[in-house]
Amino acid sequence: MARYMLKRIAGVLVTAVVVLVIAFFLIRLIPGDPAGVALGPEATPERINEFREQMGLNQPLPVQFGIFVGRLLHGDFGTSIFFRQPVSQVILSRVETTFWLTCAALLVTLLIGVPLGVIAAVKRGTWIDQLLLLAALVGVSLPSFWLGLLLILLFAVDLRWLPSSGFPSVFLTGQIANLRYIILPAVTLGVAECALLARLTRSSMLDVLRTDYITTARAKGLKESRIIIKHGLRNAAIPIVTVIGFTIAKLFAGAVVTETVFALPGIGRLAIEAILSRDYPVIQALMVVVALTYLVFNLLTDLVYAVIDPRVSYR
Amino acid sequence: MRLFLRQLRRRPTALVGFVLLVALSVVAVFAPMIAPYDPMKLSVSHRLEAPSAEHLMGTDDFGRDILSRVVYGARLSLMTGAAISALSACLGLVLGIISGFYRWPALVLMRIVDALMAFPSILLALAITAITGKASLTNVIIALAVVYTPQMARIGYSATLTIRQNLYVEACRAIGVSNVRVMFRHVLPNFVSLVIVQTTFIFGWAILGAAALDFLGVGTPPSVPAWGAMVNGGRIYISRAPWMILFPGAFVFMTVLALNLLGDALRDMLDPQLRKL
Repeated sequence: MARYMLKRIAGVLVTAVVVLVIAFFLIRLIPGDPAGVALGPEATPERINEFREQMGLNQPLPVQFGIFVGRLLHGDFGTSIFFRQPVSQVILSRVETTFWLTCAALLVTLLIGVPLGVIAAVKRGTWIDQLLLLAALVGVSLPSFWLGLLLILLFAVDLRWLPSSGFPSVFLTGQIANLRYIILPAVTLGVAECALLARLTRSSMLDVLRTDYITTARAKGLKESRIIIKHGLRNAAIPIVTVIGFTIAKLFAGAVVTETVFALPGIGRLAIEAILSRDYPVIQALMVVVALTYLVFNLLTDLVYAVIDPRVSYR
Repeated sequence: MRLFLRQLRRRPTALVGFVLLVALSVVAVFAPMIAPYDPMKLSVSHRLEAPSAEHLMGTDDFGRDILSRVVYGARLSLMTGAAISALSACLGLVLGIISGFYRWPALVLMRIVDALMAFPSILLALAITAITGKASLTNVIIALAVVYTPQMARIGYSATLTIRQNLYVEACRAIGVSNVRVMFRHVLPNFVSLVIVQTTFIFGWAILGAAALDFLGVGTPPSVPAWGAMVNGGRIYISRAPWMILFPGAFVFMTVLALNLLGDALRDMLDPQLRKL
């Protein structure tokens, strides 16, 4: 087990280094001088030289990479060109919205995806199963930006039940009711993942429902609902739990489109603002933060999986 | 082909997907004949008109006919999706097969593939479009091809690792067949079914991804009739002219659904082990 865990951690560390290399060199592929790009067209040659010296841009590339990694380890992502503030501060100011959105979307995913998958597995081969499978395909095929606008049209414009945009901070205002701003975005973001989770749950449940201990439980005369929930779902949940880490990372990424549709001041919206204003330090920092978050979630998932199901570490 | 048609008959959903895709392809090919108006023609006197006999899907804020723009959008979307899926399939397969055959390139290439897969697809595509410069169709294709190449490379790599253990591959090498010939003549044809299925799914994801980039304003230029950009253009008129977002979005959805239905059927037909997923 320990050997498996060390191997996984080493693998993730190597991938993390490659992530940093890609994020570092991708930004350097931008045509022109990074100092000129960072300071804008009005910068004087003296200011550009000073900036190059300050940021180590006159050093050889491997040295620059070393400086970049050193700064990252101290949480220093540089200064935003657009906001004129440290990048880490800009990102931290946007974390709250994305945090609430991801949590709420995960809740939608679990509350709808798992029960639908269980029902589809129990009713395997019937019209209910076919309908749920089709609904799952419809869910993954829906463009999130379109679904979001349709929900705004129905629930915000026509029925006026929910707000269509913005998100006042819950932490700063202390108003938990502000979470109603997150309902429509969470449904928009959760639908595709919910469809994928329903398919995974169905497949995992089908595997379990074919096992001998389920036959034994039935032979003992246990109630079908007890067999499905206590013996079936509990065992089928292992692969489901392991994809939750992966799902969180995907929801975090999906926030880019959803936050734009609902004008939410989160990390995803920040990514778009940074791209449109060519704020390269912010783009680079977001790439690093999001990719490393994904790697950490995946690693934790693998380690938890190895603890829950030790057979994994011997495969 | 006969097997494919039999599968279509057995699965009505797959048949629906196939028919939808054929219909969309016909619309794309014959766009100039089907579109009732010039998709770029501005008409201030007809702006924001609701669907009517004259304009079946209404008009946009510049008075352009939405049906004509949606029809031309089909051409653009299918071409973009096809280019991205073909490019990522070719690149990914070459990288995957080479990595499956040679130990050292595998160590480097597969780490790069893993790292690229750690970046969320939309964020990576956004970063690449920012680097490649101004919004253009070519940049969208390059960005999304880079995003989807790692997935195909992973499939090519794992399939090659399995297939190269077979005796016939060893026999080929024993009689002096070159590695390149073994890779592309004897290994690749043995997992081509997996490639077809994955390419169908990538086709759908690419259309969704390109529409999302267009919607975010970093894809094709706004004047081009692209579905994602059309939905974005209709956002501010959502309560006054909802048809501006309804029709283009519905076409993105239908196209992706058709490809997913077809991909599902192909997967069942070509790889029965995956049927339960």
